Amino acid sequence: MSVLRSLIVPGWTKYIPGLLLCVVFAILTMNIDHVLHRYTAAHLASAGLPVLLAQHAELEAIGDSDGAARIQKKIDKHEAALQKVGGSVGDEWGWAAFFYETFQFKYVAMLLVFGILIRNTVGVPKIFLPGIGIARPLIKPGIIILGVHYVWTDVLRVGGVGLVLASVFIFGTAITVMWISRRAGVSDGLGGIMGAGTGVCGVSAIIATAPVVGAKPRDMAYAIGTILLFGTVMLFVMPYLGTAIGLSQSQFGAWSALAILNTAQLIAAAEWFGEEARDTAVLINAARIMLIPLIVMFAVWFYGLKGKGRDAGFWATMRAKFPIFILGFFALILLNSLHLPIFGGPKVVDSPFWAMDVVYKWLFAIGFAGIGLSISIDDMRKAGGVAFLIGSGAAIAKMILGLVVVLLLGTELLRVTGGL
Amino acid sequence: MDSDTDSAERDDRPILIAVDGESHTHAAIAEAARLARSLDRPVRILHVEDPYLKQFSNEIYAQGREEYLEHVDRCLAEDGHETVRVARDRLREDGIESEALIRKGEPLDAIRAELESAAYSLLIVGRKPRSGGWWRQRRDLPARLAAAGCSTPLLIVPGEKTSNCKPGTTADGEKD
Repeated sequence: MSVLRSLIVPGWTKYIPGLLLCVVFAILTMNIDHVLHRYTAAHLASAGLPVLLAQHAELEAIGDSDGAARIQKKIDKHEAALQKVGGSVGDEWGWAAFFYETFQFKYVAMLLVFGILIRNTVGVPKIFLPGIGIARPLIKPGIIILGVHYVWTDVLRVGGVGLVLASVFIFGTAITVMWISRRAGVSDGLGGIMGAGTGVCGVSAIIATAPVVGAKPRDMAYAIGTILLFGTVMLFVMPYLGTAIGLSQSQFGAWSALAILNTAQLIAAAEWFGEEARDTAVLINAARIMLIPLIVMFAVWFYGLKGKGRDAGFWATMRAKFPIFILGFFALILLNSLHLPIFGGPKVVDSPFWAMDVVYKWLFAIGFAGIGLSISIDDMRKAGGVAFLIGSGAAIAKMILGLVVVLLLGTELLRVTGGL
Repeated sequence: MDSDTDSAERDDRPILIAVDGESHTHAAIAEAARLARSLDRPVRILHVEDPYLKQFSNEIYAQGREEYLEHVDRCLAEDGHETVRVARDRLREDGIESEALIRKGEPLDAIRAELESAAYSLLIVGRKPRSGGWWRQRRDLPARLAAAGCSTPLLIVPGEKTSNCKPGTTADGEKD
Protein backbone atom coordinates (compact mmCIF):
# COMPACT_ATOMS: atom_id res chain seq x y z
CA MET A 1 0.00 0.00 0.00
CA SER A 2 2.82 2.38 0.91
CA VAL A 3 4.48 1.55 -2.41
CA LEU A 4 1.28 2.49 -4.22
CA ARG A 5 0.99 5.69 -2.22
CA SER A 6 4.58 6.63 -3.06
CA LEU A 7 3.68 6.47 -6.76
CA ILE A 8 1.12 9.22 -6.38
CA VAL A 9 2.48 12.75 -6.77
CA PRO A 10 1.62 14.87 -3.72
CA GLY A 11 -1.00 17.46 -4.59
CA TRP A 12 -1.83 15.71 -7.87
CA THR A 13 -5.31 17.24 -8.00
CA LYS A 14 -3.86 20.67 -8.82
CA TYR A 15 -2.72 19.29 -12.17
CA ILE A 16 -6.16 18.11 -13.26
CA PRO A 17 -7.75 21.41 -14.49
CA GLY A 18 -4.79 22.40 -16.67
CA LEU A 19 -4.38 18.92 -18.10
CA LEU A 20 -8.09 18.77 -18.91
CA LEU A 21 -7.84 22.17 -20.57
CA CYS A 22 -4.98 20.91 -22.75
CA VAL A 23 -6.90 17.73 -23.62
CA VAL A 24 -10.01 19.70 -24.63
CA PHE A 25 -7.88 22.19 -26.58
CA ALA A 26 -6.13 19.30 -28.35
CA ILE A 27 -9.40 17.53 -29.21
CA LEU A 28 -10.91 20.73 -30.63
CA THR A 29 -7.83 21.52 -32.69
CA MET A 30 -7.38 17.98 -33.99
CA ASN A 31 -10.99 18.06 -35.14
CA ILE A 32 -10.52 21.38 -36.92
CA ASP A 33 -7.38 19.91 -38.53
CA HIS A 34 -9.41 16.86 -39.58
CA VAL A 35 -12.16 18.99 -41.14
CA LEU A 36 -9.67 21.20 -42.99
CA HIS A 37 -7.83 18.12 -44.23
CA ARG A 38 -11.07 16.53 -45.45
CA TYR A 39 -12.24 19.62 -47.33
CA THR A 40 -8.77 20.21 -48.79
CA ALA A 41 -8.74 16.63 -50.11
CA ALA A 42 -12.23 17.18 -51.55
CA HIS A 43 -11.13 20.46 -53.16
CA LEU A 44 -8.15 18.78 -54.83
CA ALA A 45 -10.31 15.81 -55.86
CA SER A 46 -12.93 18.10 -57.38
CA ALA A 47 -10.28 19.76 -59.55
CA GLY A 48 -8.35 16.59 -60.32
CA LEU A 49 -11.13 14.12 -61.06
CA PRO A 50 -12.02 15.31 -64.61
CA VAL A 51 -8.35 15.10 -65.59
CA LEU A 52 -8.05 11.59 -64.17
CA LEU A 53 -11.26 10.46 -65.89
CA ALA A 54 -9.94 11.72 -69.21
CA GLN A 55 -6.62 9.94 -68.66
CA HIS A 56 -8.44 6.75 -67.73
CA ALA A 57 -10.53 6.89 -70.90
CA GLU A 58 -7.41 7.46 -73.03
CA LEU A 59 -5.55 4.52 -71.45
CA GLU A 60 -8.53 2.24 -71.92
CA ALA A 61 -8.80 3.35 -75.53
CA ILE A 62 -5.20 2.33 -76.22
CA GLY A 63 -5.62 -0.92 -74.26
CA ASP A 64 -3.23 -0.10 -71.37
CA SER A 65 -5.12 -1.97 -68.66
CA ASP A 66 -2.34 -1.65 -66.05
CA GLY A 67 -2.17 2.11 -66.48
CA ALA A 68 -5.96 2.33 -66.45
CA ALA A 69 -6.11 0.30 -63.23
CA ARG A 70 -3.55 2.60 -61.61
CA ILE A 71 -5.56 5.66 -62.59
CA GLN A 72 -8.76 3.95 -61.44
CA LYS A 73 -7.31 3.65 -57.93
CA LYS A 74 -6.68 7.37 -57.88
CA ILE A 75 -10.19 8.02 -59.19
CA ASP A 76 -11.65 5.86 -56.39
CA LYS A 77 -9.62 7.79 -53.84
CA HIS A 78 -10.79 11.13 -55.21
CA GLU A 79 -14.41 10.00 -55.35
CA ALA A 80 -14.16 8.83 -51.73
CA ALA A 81 -12.74 12.23 -50.74
CA LEU A 82 -15.66 13.98 -52.43
CA GLN A 83 -18.16 11.58 -50.91
CA LYS A 84 -16.90 12.31 -47.39
CA VAL A 85 -18.02 15.92 -47.67
CA GLY A 86 -21.07 15.21 -49.82
CA GLY A 87 -19.65 17.15 -52.76
CA SER A 88 -19.34 16.59 -56.47
CA VAL A 89 -17.01 17.56 -59.33
CA GLY A 90 -16.99 21.33 -59.80
CA ASP A 91 -17.53 22.13 -56.13
CA GLU A 92 -14.83 24.26 -54.55
CA TRP A 93 -13.48 24.55 -51.01
CA GLY A 94 -10.68 26.98 -51.73
CA TRP A 95 -10.69 28.37 -48.18
CA ALA A 96 -9.76 24.96 -46.78
CA ALA A 97 -6.98 24.46 -49.31
CA PHE A 98 -5.68 27.96 -48.58
CA PHE A 99 -5.41 27.37 -44.83
CA TYR A 100 -4.27 23.76 -44.96
CA GLU A 101 -2.06 23.60 -48.04
CA THR A 102 -0.93 27.10 -48.91
CA PHE A 103 -0.70 28.53 -45.41
CA GLN A 104 0.17 25.16 -43.80
CA PHE A 105 -2.17 25.89 -40.89
CA LYS A 106 -2.16 22.40 -39.43
CA TYR A 107 -2.83 21.19 -35.89
CA VAL A 108 0.64 22.08 -34.62
CA ALA A 109 0.37 25.66 -35.86
CA MET A 110 -3.19 25.98 -34.55
CA LEU A 111 -2.27 24.75 -31.07
CA LEU A 112 0.74 27.03 -30.87
CA VAL A 113 -0.82 30.16 -32.39
CA PHE A 114 -4.12 29.93 -30.51
CA GLY A 115 -2.30 28.91 -27.32
CA ILE A 116 0.03 31.92 -27.52
CA LEU A 117 -2.90 34.22 -28.32
CA ILE A 118 -4.94 32.95 -25.36
CA ARG A 119 -2.02 33.12 -22.94
CA ASN A 120 -1.04 36.65 -23.93
CA THR A 121 -4.44 38.29 -24.42
CA VAL A 122 -7.22 36.99 -22.18
CA GLY A 123 -4.65 35.13 -20.05
CA VAL A 124 -4.80 31.74 -18.39
CA PRO A 125 -6.33 31.57 -14.87
CA LYS A 126 -3.86 30.38 -12.24
CA ILE A 127 -5.81 27.22 -11.52
CA PHE A 128 -4.81 25.87 -14.96
CA LEU A 129 -1.10 26.68 -14.80
CA PRO A 130 0.23 23.58 -12.94
CA GLY A 131 -1.55 21.21 -15.33
CA ILE A 132 -0.41 23.16 -18.40
CA GLY A 133 3.15 22.91 -17.07
CA ILE A 134 3.08 19.13 -16.89
CA ALA A 135 1.27 18.74 -20.23
CA ARG A 136 4.48 19.66 -22.07
CA PRO A 137 6.49 16.60 -20.96
CA LEU A 138 3.75 14.37 -22.43
CA ILE A 139 5.69 14.83 -25.65
CA LYS A 140 8.30 12.57 -24.06
CA PRO A 141 6.21 9.35 -24.11
CA GLY A 142 5.17 10.45 -27.61
CA ILE A 143 8.85 10.44 -28.61
CA ILE A 144 9.39 7.00 -27.07
CA ILE A 145 6.47 5.68 -29.14
CA LEU A 146 7.96 7.26 -32.26
CA GLY A 147 10.65 4.58 -31.93
CA VAL A 148 8.32 2.34 -33.99
CA HIS A 149 9.05 4.57 -37.00
CA TYR A 150 12.72 3.54 -37.16
CA VAL A 151 14.91 0.52 -37.76
CA TRP A 152 18.52 0.10 -36.79
CA THR A 153 19.79 1.01 -40.23
CA ASP A 154 18.15 4.42 -39.75
CA VAL A 155 19.88 4.79 -36.39
CA LEU A 156 23.24 3.89 -37.86
CA ARG A 157 22.90 6.09 -40.95
CA VAL A 158 20.79 9.11 -39.91
CA GLY A 159 21.59 8.78 -36.19
CA GLY A 160 25.29 8.36 -36.95
CA VAL A 161 25.36 11.41 -39.19
CA GLY A 162 23.21 13.19 -36.60
CA LEU A 163 25.56 12.30 -33.77
CA VAL A 164 28.56 13.64 -35.66
CA LEU A 165 26.70 16.82 -36.67
CA ALA A 166 25.21 17.29 -33.20
CA SER A 167 28.61 16.83 -31.56
CA VAL A 168 30.26 19.37 -33.87
CA PHE A 169 27.43 21.89 -33.46
CA ILE A 170 27.04 21.37 -29.70
CA PHE A 171 30.68 21.56 -28.76
CA GLY A 172 31.42 24.15 -31.44
CA THR A 173 28.68 26.40 -30.08
CA ALA A 174 29.42 25.72 -26.40
CA ILE A 175 33.16 26.27 -26.73
CA THR A 176 32.70 29.44 -28.80
CA VAL A 177 30.04 30.91 -26.52
CA MET A 178 31.92 30.11 -23.30
CA TRP A 179 35.21 31.43 -24.71
CA ILE A 180 33.66 34.67 -26.00
CA SER A 181 31.78 35.10 -22.71
CA ARG A 182 34.99 34.74 -20.71
CA ARG A 183 36.82 37.19 -22.98
CA ALA A 184 33.93 39.66 -22.60
CA GLY A 185 34.06 39.39 -18.81
CA VAL A 186 30.69 37.65 -18.52
CA SER A 187 30.21 35.71 -15.26
CA ASP A 188 30.89 31.96 -15.29
CA GLY A 189 27.26 31.33 -14.38
CA LEU A 190 25.81 33.21 -17.35
CA GLY A 191 28.51 32.08 -19.80
CA GLY A 192 28.05 28.46 -18.72
CA ILE A 193 24.28 28.34 -19.09
CA MET A 194 24.34 30.25 -22.38
CA GLY A 195 27.00 27.88 -23.74
CA ALA A 196 24.92 24.85 -22.77
CA GLY A 197 21.59 26.42 -23.70
CA THR A 198 22.59 27.59 -27.17
CA GLY A 199 24.66 24.46 -27.77
CA VAL A 200 22.44 21.57 -26.70
CA CYS A 201 18.72 21.88 -26.21
CA GLY A 202 17.86 25.25 -24.78
CA VAL A 203 16.06 25.49 -21.47
CA SER A 204 16.53 21.77 -20.69
CA ALA A 205 20.31 22.22 -20.86
CA ILE A 206 20.13 25.41 -18.79
CA ILE A 207 18.31 23.49 -16.06
CA ALA A 208 20.95 20.75 -16.11
CA THR A 209 23.86 23.21 -16.07
CA ALA A 210 22.67 26.10 -13.87
CA PRO A 211 23.31 24.43 -10.48
CA VAL A 212 26.72 23.20 -11.61
CA VAL A 213 28.03 26.57 -12.80
CA GLY A 214 26.24 28.43 -10.01
CA ALA A 215 24.11 30.63 -12.27
CA LYS A 216 22.24 33.43 -10.51
CA PRO A 217 18.45 33.75 -10.87
CA ARG A 218 18.85 36.97 -12.81
CA ASP A 219 21.22 35.25 -15.27
CA MET A 220 18.82 32.35 -15.63
CA ALA A 221 15.92 34.70 -16.35
CA TYR A 222 18.00 36.43 -19.05
CA ALA A 223 19.15 33.16 -20.58
CA ILE A 224 15.77 31.41 -20.53
CA GLY A 225 14.05 34.50 -21.93
CA THR A 226 16.57 34.67 -24.77
CA ILE A 227 16.34 30.96 -25.60
CA LEU A 228 12.53 31.08 -25.59
CA LEU A 229 12.50 34.20 -27.74
CA PHE A 230 14.77 32.79 -30.43
CA GLY A 231 13.23 29.31 -30.20
CA THR A 232 9.77 30.75 -30.79
CA VAL A 233 10.85 33.04 -33.62
CA MET A 234 12.66 30.15 -35.33
CA LEU A 235 9.65 27.87 -34.84
CA PHE A 236 7.44 30.18 -36.88
CA VAL A 237 10.04 31.36 -39.39
CA MET A 238 11.93 28.19 -40.28
CA PRO A 239 9.08 26.08 -41.74
CA TYR A 240 8.23 28.89 -44.18
CA LEU A 241 11.92 29.48 -44.92
CA GLY A 242 12.41 25.74 -45.51
CA THR A 243 9.52 25.72 -47.99
CA ALA A 244 10.80 28.85 -49.73
CA ILE A 245 14.32 27.41 -50.06
CA GLY A 246 12.89 24.10 -51.29
CA LEU A 247 14.35 21.85 -48.60
CA SER A 248 13.25 18.23 -48.58
CA GLN A 249 11.46 16.88 -45.52
CA SER A 250 14.57 15.11 -44.25
CA GLN A 251 16.77 18.14 -44.83
CA PHE A 252 14.37 20.34 -42.91
CA GLY A 253 14.25 17.82 -40.05
CA ALA A 254 18.03 17.84 -39.76
CA TRP A 255 18.18 21.62 -40.08
CA SER A 256 15.65 22.18 -37.30
CA ALA A 257 17.42 19.65 -35.04
CA LEU A 258 20.71 21.49 -35.50
CA ALA A 259 19.52 25.08 -35.49
CA ILE A 260 16.45 25.58 -33.28
CA LEU A 261 17.63 26.48 -29.80
CA ASN A 262 14.88 24.86 -27.72
CA THR A 263 13.69 21.25 -27.85
CA ALA A 264 9.95 21.86 -27.64
CA GLN A 265 10.07 24.36 -30.48
CA LEU A 266 12.24 22.14 -32.68
CA ILE A 267 9.89 19.16 -32.37
CA ALA A 268 6.91 21.41 -33.06
CA ALA A 269 8.57 22.93 -36.15
CA ALA A 270 9.53 19.53 -37.56
CA GLU A 271 6.08 18.00 -36.89
CA TRP A 272 4.54 21.06 -38.54
CA PHE A 273 6.73 20.66 -41.63
CA GLY A 274 5.82 17.01 -42.10
CA GLU A 275 6.14 13.44 -40.85
CA GLU A 276 9.46 12.68 -42.55
CA ALA A 277 10.93 15.92 -41.21
CA ARG A 278 9.77 14.99 -37.72
CA ASP A 279 11.27 11.49 -37.93
CA THR A 280 14.68 12.88 -38.92
CA ALA A 281 14.53 15.68 -36.35
CA VAL A 282 13.58 13.38 -33.46
CA LEU A 283 16.38 10.93 -34.25
CA ILE A 284 19.06 13.63 -34.51
CA ASN A 285 17.68 15.30 -31.41
CA ALA A 286 17.91 11.97 -29.54
CA ALA A 287 21.60 11.94 -30.40
CA ARG A 288 21.85 15.56 -29.30
CA ILE A 289 20.25 15.21 -25.86
CA MET A 290 22.42 12.24 -24.98
CA LEU A 291 25.29 14.72 -24.94
CA ILE A 292 23.80 16.79 -22.07
CA PRO A 293 25.95 15.09 -19.38
CA LEU A 294 29.07 15.65 -21.47
CA ILE A 295 28.37 19.34 -21.88
CA VAL A 296 27.84 19.64 -18.11
CA MET A 297 31.21 17.97 -17.53
CA PHE A 298 32.78 20.24 -20.13
CA ALA A 299 31.45 23.31 -18.27
CA VAL A 300 32.94 21.98 -15.01
CA TRP A 301 36.31 21.58 -16.72
CA PHE A 302 36.16 24.87 -18.66
CA TYR A 303 35.36 26.97 -15.61
CA GLY A 304 37.74 25.08 -13.34
CA LEU A 305 34.93 24.08 -10.97
CA LYS A 306 36.48 20.75 -10.04
CA GLY A 307 38.25 22.22 -7.04
CA LYS A 308 35.08 24.03 -5.92
CA GLY A 309 33.15 20.86 -5.18
CA ARG A 310 30.98 21.14 -8.29
CA ASP A 311 32.41 18.05 -9.98
CA ALA A 312 30.24 15.07 -9.09
CA GLY A 313 32.41 12.67 -11.11
CA PHE A 314 31.78 11.03 -14.47
CA TRP A 315 29.30 8.32 -13.46
CA ALA A 316 27.40 10.44 -10.97
CA THR A 317 26.98 13.16 -13.61
CA MET A 318 25.89 10.60 -16.18
CA ARG A 319 23.31 9.19 -13.75
CA ALA A 320 21.98 12.63 -12.80
CA LYS A 321 21.91 14.24 -16.24
CA PHE A 322 21.42 11.41 -18.75
CA PRO A 323 17.92 11.39 -20.30
CA ILE A 324 16.97 7.83 -19.35
CA PHE A 325 13.67 7.89 -21.25
CA ILE A 326 15.64 7.86 -24.50
CA LEU A 327 16.48 4.21 -23.75
CA GLY A 328 12.76 3.43 -24.18
CA PHE A 329 12.92 5.07 -27.61
CA PHE A 330 15.86 2.87 -28.61
CA ALA A 331 14.18 -0.24 -27.13
CA LEU A 332 11.21 0.31 -29.46
CA ILE A 333 13.55 0.80 -32.42
CA LEU A 334 15.11 -2.54 -31.54
CA LEU A 335 11.71 -4.25 -31.37
CA ASN A 336 10.64 -2.69 -34.66
CA SER A 337 13.89 -3.79 -36.29
CA LEU A 338 13.17 -7.40 -35.38
CA HIS A 339 10.01 -7.28 -37.54
CA LEU A 340 8.12 -9.55 -35.15
CA PRO A 341 4.65 -10.26 -36.55
CA ILE A 342 3.08 -9.96 -33.10
CA PHE A 343 3.87 -6.21 -33.00
CA GLY A 344 3.00 -5.42 -36.62
CA GLY A 345 4.05 -1.92 -37.65
CA PRO A 346 2.82 1.66 -37.71
CA LYS A 347 1.24 1.06 -41.12
CA VAL A 348 -0.24 -2.36 -40.26
CA VAL A 349 -3.79 -1.50 -39.25
CA ASP A 350 -5.00 -2.91 -35.89
CA SER A 351 -1.50 -4.07 -34.87
CA PRO A 352 0.01 -2.98 -31.49
CA PHE A 353 2.53 -0.66 -33.18
CA TRP A 354 -0.24 0.87 -35.28
CA ALA A 355 -2.24 1.58 -32.10
CA MET A 356 0.82 3.13 -30.47
CA ASP A 357 1.33 5.29 -33.53
CA VAL A 358 -2.20 6.65 -33.14
CA VAL A 359 -1.56 7.44 -29.48
CA TYR A 360 1.66 9.37 -30.15
CA LYS A 361 -0.16 12.06 -32.13
CA TRP A 362 -2.53 12.69 -29.23
CA LEU A 363 0.34 12.90 -26.77
CA PHE A 364 2.03 15.39 -29.10
CA ALA A 365 -1.19 17.38 -29.48
CA ILE A 366 -1.70 17.64 -25.70
CA GLY A 367 1.99 18.52 -25.28
CA PHE A 368 1.81 21.21 -27.98
CA ALA A 369 -1.32 22.61 -26.32
CA GLY A 370 0.77 22.90 -23.15
CA ILE A 371 3.62 24.54 -25.06
CA GLY A 372 1.34 27.07 -26.77
CA LEU A 373 -0.41 27.99 -23.54
CA SER A 374 2.96 28.31 -21.77
CA ILE A 375 4.62 30.68 -24.26
CA SER A 376 4.41 34.01 -22.49
CA ILE A 377 5.58 37.25 -24.01
CA ASP A 378 6.42 38.37 -20.47
CA ASP A 379 8.93 35.50 -20.22
CA MET A 380 10.53 36.49 -23.51
CA ARG A 381 10.66 40.13 -22.47
CA LYS A 382 13.22 39.05 -19.89
CA ALA A 383 15.64 38.40 -22.73
CA GLY A 384 18.27 41.04 -22.67
CA GLY A 385 21.76 42.18 -21.88
CA VAL A 386 24.72 40.03 -22.79
CA ALA A 387 22.55 36.89 -22.94
CA PHE A 388 20.57 38.42 -25.80
CA LEU A 389 23.71 39.28 -27.75
CA ILE A 390 25.11 35.77 -27.24
CA GLY A 391 21.77 34.13 -28.05
CA SER A 392 21.20 36.12 -31.23
CA GLY A 393 24.74 35.43 -32.46
CA ALA A 394 24.47 31.70 -31.76
CA ALA A 395 20.97 31.45 -33.25
CA ILE A 396 21.92 33.16 -36.51
CA ALA A 397 25.23 31.28 -36.83
CA LYS A 398 23.58 27.88 -36.21
CA MET A 399 20.78 28.66 -38.62
CA ILE A 400 23.15 29.58 -41.47
CA LEU A 401 25.75 26.85 -40.82
CA GLY A 402 23.05 24.23 -40.29
CA LEU A 403 21.43 25.16 -43.59
CA VAL A 404 24.74 24.94 -45.46
CA VAL A 405 25.43 21.50 -43.94
CA VAL A 406 22.02 19.98 -44.79
CA LEU A 407 22.21 21.38 -48.32
CA LEU A 408 25.64 19.77 -48.74
CA LEU A 409 24.51 16.45 -47.27
CA GLY A 410 21.40 16.13 -49.43
CA THR A 411 18.30 14.11 -48.66
CA GLU A 412 19.26 10.44 -48.80
CA LEU A 413 21.74 10.46 -45.95
CA LEU A 414 19.18 12.12 -43.69
CA ARG A 415 16.08 10.15 -44.69
CA VAL A 416 14.42 7.81 -42.20
CA THR A 417 13.11 4.75 -44.03
CA GLY A 418 11.47 2.86 -41.20
CA GLY A 419 12.66 -0.31 -42.92
CA LEU A 420 10.60 0.31 -46.06
CA MET B 1 -12.74 61.30 21.51
CA ASP B 2 -13.31 58.33 19.20
CA SER B 3 -12.15 60.31 16.27
CA ASP B 4 -8.98 61.36 18.07
CA THR B 5 -8.24 57.77 19.04
CA ASP B 6 -8.73 56.60 15.45
CA SER B 7 -6.41 59.23 14.15
CA ALA B 8 -3.77 58.34 16.75
CA GLU B 9 -4.00 54.66 15.68
CA ARG B 10 -3.67 55.59 12.04
CA ASP B 11 -0.51 57.54 12.85
CA ASP B 12 1.14 54.36 14.09
CA ARG B 13 0.57 52.47 10.91
CA PRO B 14 3.93 51.67 9.34
CA ILE B 15 5.11 52.43 5.84
CA LEU B 16 5.63 49.31 3.74
CA ILE B 17 8.38 49.36 1.16
CA ALA B 18 8.68 46.56 -1.39
CA VAL B 19 12.27 45.95 -2.50
CA ASP B 20 13.79 43.62 -5.03
CA GLY B 21 17.50 44.37 -4.94
CA GLU B 22 17.54 46.18 -8.26
CA SER B 23 19.05 49.63 -8.61
CA HIS B 24 15.70 51.34 -9.11
CA THR B 25 14.61 50.47 -5.57
CA HIS B 26 17.43 52.60 -4.12
CA ALA B 27 15.45 55.73 -4.91
CA ALA B 28 12.37 54.17 -3.32
CA ILE B 29 14.29 53.32 -0.13
CA ALA B 30 15.60 56.90 0.06
CA GLU B 31 12.05 58.22 -0.34
CA ALA B 32 10.79 55.82 2.35
CA ALA B 33 13.50 57.08 4.69
CA ARG B 34 12.55 60.70 4.04
CA LEU B 35 8.84 60.10 4.60
CA ALA B 36 9.39 57.92 7.68
CA ARG B 37 11.46 60.67 9.24
CA SER B 38 9.09 63.52 8.43
CA LEU B 39 5.90 61.59 9.32
CA ASP B 40 7.50 59.72 12.19
CA ARG B 41 6.30 56.32 11.01
CA PRO B 42 7.95 52.95 11.38
CA VAL B 43 9.11 51.19 8.20
CA ARG B 44 8.68 47.59 7.15
CA ILE B 45 10.71 46.18 4.29
CA LEU B 46 9.07 43.51 2.17
CA HIS B 47 10.98 41.28 -0.21
CA VAL B 48 9.22 38.63 -2.27
CA GLU B 49 11.05 35.55 -3.51
CA ASP B 50 9.47 35.04 -6.91
CA PRO B 51 9.45 31.34 -7.84
CA TYR B 52 9.02 32.25 -11.53
CA LEU B 53 12.10 30.26 -12.60
CA LYS B 54 10.79 27.03 -11.10
CA GLN B 55 8.13 26.60 -13.79
CA PHE B 56 10.84 25.78 -16.32
CA SER B 57 11.75 22.55 -14.52
CA ASN B 58 8.92 21.02 -16.60
CA GLU B 59 10.90 21.44 -19.83
CA ILE B 60 10.65 18.37 -21.99
CA TYR B 61 14.18 17.02 -21.58
CA ALA B 62 15.04 18.72 -18.29
CA GLN B 63 17.54 16.61 -16.37
CA GLY B 64 18.43 17.08 -12.71
CA ARG B 65 15.14 18.80 -11.85
CA GLU B 66 15.54 18.41 -8.08
CA GLU B 67 19.04 19.88 -8.12
CA TYR B 68 17.81 22.79 -10.23
CA LEU B 69 14.87 23.51 -7.91
CA GLU B 70 17.13 23.38 -4.84
CA HIS B 71 19.59 25.70 -6.58
CA VAL B 72 16.84 28.23 -7.41
CA ASP B 73 15.51 28.12 -3.83
CA ARG B 74 18.99 28.59 -2.39
CA CYS B 75 19.82 31.52 -4.70
CA LEU B 76 16.48 33.24 -4.07
CA ALA B 77 16.96 32.92 -0.31
CA GLU B 78 20.52 34.28 -0.47
CA ASP B 79 19.52 37.16 -2.73
CA GLY B 80 16.51 37.91 -0.52
CA HIS B 81 18.56 38.19 2.65
CA GLU B 82 21.16 40.32 0.90
CA THR B 83 18.48 42.61 -0.55
CA VAL B 84 16.86 43.11 2.83
CA ARG B 85 20.23 43.67 4.52
CA VAL B 86 21.16 46.39 2.00
CA ALA B 87 17.78 48.11 2.46
CA ARG B 88 18.01 48.01 6.26
CA ASP B 89 21.55 49.39 6.19
CA ARG B 90 20.44 52.21 3.93
CA LEU B 91 17.57 53.13 6.27
CA ARG B 92 19.86 52.85 9.28
CA GLU B 93 22.12 55.48 7.70
CA ASP B 94 19.18 57.86 8.15
CA GLY B 95 18.65 56.69 11.71
CA ILE B 96 15.60 54.60 10.91
CA GLU B 97 15.24 51.11 12.30
CA SER B 98 13.13 48.80 10.21
CA GLU B 99 11.48 45.42 10.31
CA ALA B 100 12.06 42.98 7.45
CA LEU B 101 9.57 40.58 5.92
CA ILE B 102 10.45 37.93 3.36
CA ARG B 103 7.61 36.21 1.51
CA LYS B 104 7.48 33.65 -1.27
CA GLY B 105 5.16 33.73 -4.26
CA GLU B 106 4.02 35.88 -7.14
CA PRO B 107 5.06 39.43 -6.11
CA LEU B 108 1.70 41.09 -6.76
CA ASP B 109 -0.18 38.44 -4.77
CA ALA B 110 2.35 38.51 -1.93
CA ILE B 111 2.25 42.30 -1.62
CA ARG B 112 -1.55 42.34 -1.68
CA ALA B 113 -1.66 39.59 0.94
CA GLU B 114 0.66 41.61 3.17
CA LEU B 115 -1.50 44.73 2.77
CA GLU B 116 -4.55 42.71 3.76
CA SER B 117 -2.85 41.05 6.74
CA ALA B 118 -1.78 44.31 8.43
CA ALA B 119 -2.67 48.00 8.38
CA TYR B 120 -0.19 50.20 6.52
CA SER B 121 -0.28 53.92 5.98
CA LEU B 122 1.56 53.80 2.67
CA LEU B 123 3.06 51.34 0.20
CA ILE B 124 6.20 52.46 -1.62
CA VAL B 125 7.58 50.70 -4.70
CA GLY B 126 10.26 51.67 -7.17
CA ARG B 127 9.72 51.77 -10.91
CA LYS B 128 12.36 50.83 -13.42
CA PRO B 129 13.54 53.60 -15.68
CA ARG B 130 12.75 52.52 -19.20
CA SER B 131 12.20 53.86 -22.62
CA GLY B 132 9.48 51.35 -23.50
CA GLY B 133 5.99 52.39 -24.45
CA TRP B 134 2.67 52.00 -22.65
CA TRP B 135 2.62 48.22 -23.28
CA ARG B 136 5.72 47.66 -21.18
CA GLN B 137 4.73 50.18 -18.54
CA ARG B 138 1.20 48.89 -18.04
CA ARG B 139 2.42 45.36 -17.33
CA ASP B 140 5.07 46.17 -14.75
CA LEU B 141 4.53 45.59 -11.04
CA PRO B 142 3.78 49.21 -10.01
CA ALA B 143 1.18 49.49 -12.77
CA ARG B 144 -0.43 46.20 -11.78
CA LEU B 145 -0.43 47.24 -8.12
CA ALA B 146 -2.12 50.51 -9.03
CA ALA B 147 -4.68 48.62 -11.11
CA ALA B 148 -5.32 46.15 -8.30
CA GLY B 149 -7.19 48.85 -6.39
CA CYS B 150 -5.69 48.30 -2.92
CA SER B 151 -7.05 50.59 -0.19
CA THR B 152 -3.54 51.46 1.01
CA PRO B 153 -2.13 54.56 -0.72
CA LEU B 154 0.57 53.67 -3.24
CA LEU B 155 3.66 55.75 -3.96
CA ILE B 156 5.61 54.82 -7.07
CA VAL B 157 9.14 56.17 -7.08
CA PRO B 158 10.82 56.26 -10.48
CA GLY B 159 14.38 54.96 -10.45
CA GLU B 160 17.31 56.67 -12.07
CA LYS B 161 19.08 55.14 -15.02
CA THR B 162 22.26 53.58 -13.68
CA SER B 163 24.47 50.64 -14.43
CA ASN B 164 24.95 49.94 -10.73
CA CYS B 165 22.84 46.76 -10.67
CA LYS B 166 23.53 43.85 -8.47
CA PRO B 167 22.74 40.40 -9.69
CA GLY B 168 19.73 38.82 -8.06
CA THR B 169 16.05 38.27 -8.41
CA THR B 170 13.60 41.05 -8.95
CA ALA B 171 10.38 41.57 -7.12
CA ASP B 172 8.40 41.72 -10.30
CA GLY B 173 10.57 39.22 -12.07
CA GLU B 174 11.88 41.70 -14.61
CA LYS B 175 15.17 43.09 -15.72
CA ASP B 176 16.33 46.64 -15.81
